[in-house]
Amino acid sequence: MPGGYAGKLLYINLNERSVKEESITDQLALKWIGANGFAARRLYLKQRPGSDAFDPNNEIIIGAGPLVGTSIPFSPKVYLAAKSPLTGCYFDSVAGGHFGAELKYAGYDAVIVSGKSKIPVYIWINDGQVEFREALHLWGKGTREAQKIIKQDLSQPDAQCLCVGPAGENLVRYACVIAGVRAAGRGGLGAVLGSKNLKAVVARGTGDLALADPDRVEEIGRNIREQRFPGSTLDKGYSSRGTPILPEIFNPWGLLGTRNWQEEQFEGGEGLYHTDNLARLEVKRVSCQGCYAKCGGIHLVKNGPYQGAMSEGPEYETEYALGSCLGISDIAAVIEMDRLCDDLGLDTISTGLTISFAMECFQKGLLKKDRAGGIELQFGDDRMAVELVKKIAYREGLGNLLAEGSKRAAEKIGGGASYYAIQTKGLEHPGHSTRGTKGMGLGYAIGTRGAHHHDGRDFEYHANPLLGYDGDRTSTAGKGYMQGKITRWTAAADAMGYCHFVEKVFGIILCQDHVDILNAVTGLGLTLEQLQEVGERIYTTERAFNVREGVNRTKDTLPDRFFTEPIPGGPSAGAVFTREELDGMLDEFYEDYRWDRETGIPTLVRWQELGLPAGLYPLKFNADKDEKITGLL
Amino acid sequence: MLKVNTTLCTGCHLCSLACSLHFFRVANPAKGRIKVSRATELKFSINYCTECGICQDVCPEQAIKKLNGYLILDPETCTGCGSCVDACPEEALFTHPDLSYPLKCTHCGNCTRYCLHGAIMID
Repeated sequence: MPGGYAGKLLYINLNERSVKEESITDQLALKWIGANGFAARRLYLKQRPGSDAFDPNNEIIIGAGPLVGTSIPFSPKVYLAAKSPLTGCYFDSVAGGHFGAELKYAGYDAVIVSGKSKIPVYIWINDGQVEFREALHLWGKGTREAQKIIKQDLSQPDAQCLCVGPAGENLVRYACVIAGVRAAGRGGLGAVLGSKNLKAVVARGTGDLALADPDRVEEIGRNIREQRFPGSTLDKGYSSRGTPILPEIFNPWGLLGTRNWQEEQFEGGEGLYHTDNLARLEVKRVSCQGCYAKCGGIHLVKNGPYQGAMSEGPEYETEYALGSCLGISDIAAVIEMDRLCDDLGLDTISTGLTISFAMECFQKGLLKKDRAGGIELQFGDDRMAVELVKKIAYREGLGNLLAEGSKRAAEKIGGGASYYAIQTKGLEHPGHSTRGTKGMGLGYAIGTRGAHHHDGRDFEYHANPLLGYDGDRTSTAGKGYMQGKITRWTAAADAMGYCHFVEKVFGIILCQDHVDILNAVTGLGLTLEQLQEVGERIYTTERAFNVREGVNRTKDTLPDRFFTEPIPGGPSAGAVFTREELDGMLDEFYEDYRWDRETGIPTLVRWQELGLPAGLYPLKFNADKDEKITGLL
Repeated sequence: MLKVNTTLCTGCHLCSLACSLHFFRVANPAKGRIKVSRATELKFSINYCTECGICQDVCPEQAIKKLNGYLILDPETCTGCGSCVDACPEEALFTHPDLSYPLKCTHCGNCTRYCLHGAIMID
């Protein structure tokens, strides 16, 4: 068995309450590395196309890559993957913290959960022993309290939990999964766990992770600690202040999504990020497992109407989604909503953007007060927004409509409301400007998860000689090819277990450092070319999954607002995305991946070159079973 | 000797990981000779050896002896009776199912090199 791995996959069937183990082979590791790679392979093989995301037969996979739990820094991540109830596509959602490492010390690299329990349960994985435990007393509880009770019940203060809140139980389509105090936020995988009556997965372990070359692992760690990390952007920026440094950069550039992206400069921005407002509320800095950085900041509101609100965050995306996008400049209100979202189990980005969508519909007269349950949905009204977050989690009144996400809510509202739903493939946009950073826009359009900031990445901000790229965020030239390189990195990074902030140390594409690290830990002996191919194989498999669900070139697009409305004011005024620009970048990206230019579907030739069997080619795979999908061509 | 400032601890567990790598050539915080726990949302606790000497006093086999200024547990002499583990006021002697003897810090200082935030130091 290669190093770094716990060595086993755990299959759990909730219908029968049965468990099964499978050993990880070198072949599996070489081809898919782990976590996201294992998940893409498994879901592509097992997920029935066209089925509902809440179909009890669906699987949800929880995995941690081979670097997770070792002393290699920046690699703490746990991945959850399933068909998303929000996008209907493949979705992998990721959390930092300590669960991924603990799962591996407990003996498993991935857990594959299928079926649905008759009553609420949680799964207790204790050093290779698996138990199903009733969770009736936890149902309805917030994630903090539920985790506390679980640890008390088990007398295991050091156990790590993955847990859903009331939003997951109530099948809010963007319910998140909380790992300790970190969130696998996006895509609604908390609702998938909720649909299975699975409240939590709990792990505790004392097992070894063997290392292929411990001397080299020590040497690499020393080199990073003494040479690479000190003075890096990660060290100087995120480690001391976390992601809240970003709005402080973006707002003066005029690239901070404001009032549902009607504007991109927020006059109240300083209220969110100025040192006098946010930094003075910081009470503690924290790290994920094995990380040299301490980018997590715990903030506590010390006075005013939200006195006592405390969260590990807010991260940049939350300041944007629940702050500027709602026209709210009071950081205390954002911290209160951040805390509520974590506790109720909601994705802060989709929550914020769905509320901002509703506010704009109200503003435009598409959503009247009577249909909004008597609520005046005014931008900037923080008290109303706080109440609405709760209503969404419990699907009360207007919350029931908004719990469906902006795309579905817009379809129900009608009258052109879809224009105001800032989403791609159903996933609400994160806070990096589409109009002002063209490469990021392409990333949102092609993302297998929809508009996600971890597929195509924000490379425009990285002035890195490795990229051979001048950092002009307003141009489109060559960016399709660049996103080709970046998605190979992100897919491979996710499979290894990295946090993407490692980009601030090693750059934003795969390089020899990653190969050396992976080989020192695992002994797999991969070359850089092979690792790039693993990234492409995973990303292509995710795409193939989506192709079976009806995704093609026409779905690789962006919200109409970004094509029709230039940024109205501020330093980036006039920036807009043209359809021609997107088409040009899509052509480049498809060419880079050798996907068919007309359809955006992987070609059979490249599919086979990646070592994927012709019999499983996405168009062929369903040809005999599903006419609707073949009709796509 | 190891010194600790828990307020600077960020909970990364690299100290325990570094320790298991140094002594056992594996990644396994449960085989570390120092332990970090999240006591509350805002506080980490660190269990570490202060060389108070109680373990030596209670050991019925004299398996814990001073060597180069520090108390060292000899796995060959230790019978795994657990007297020292129970007596340690710092809860800084750690048992592991793979091992017949408890793990005690040797104050080698290896873990301090991994702690970039100054929570553990060697004096």
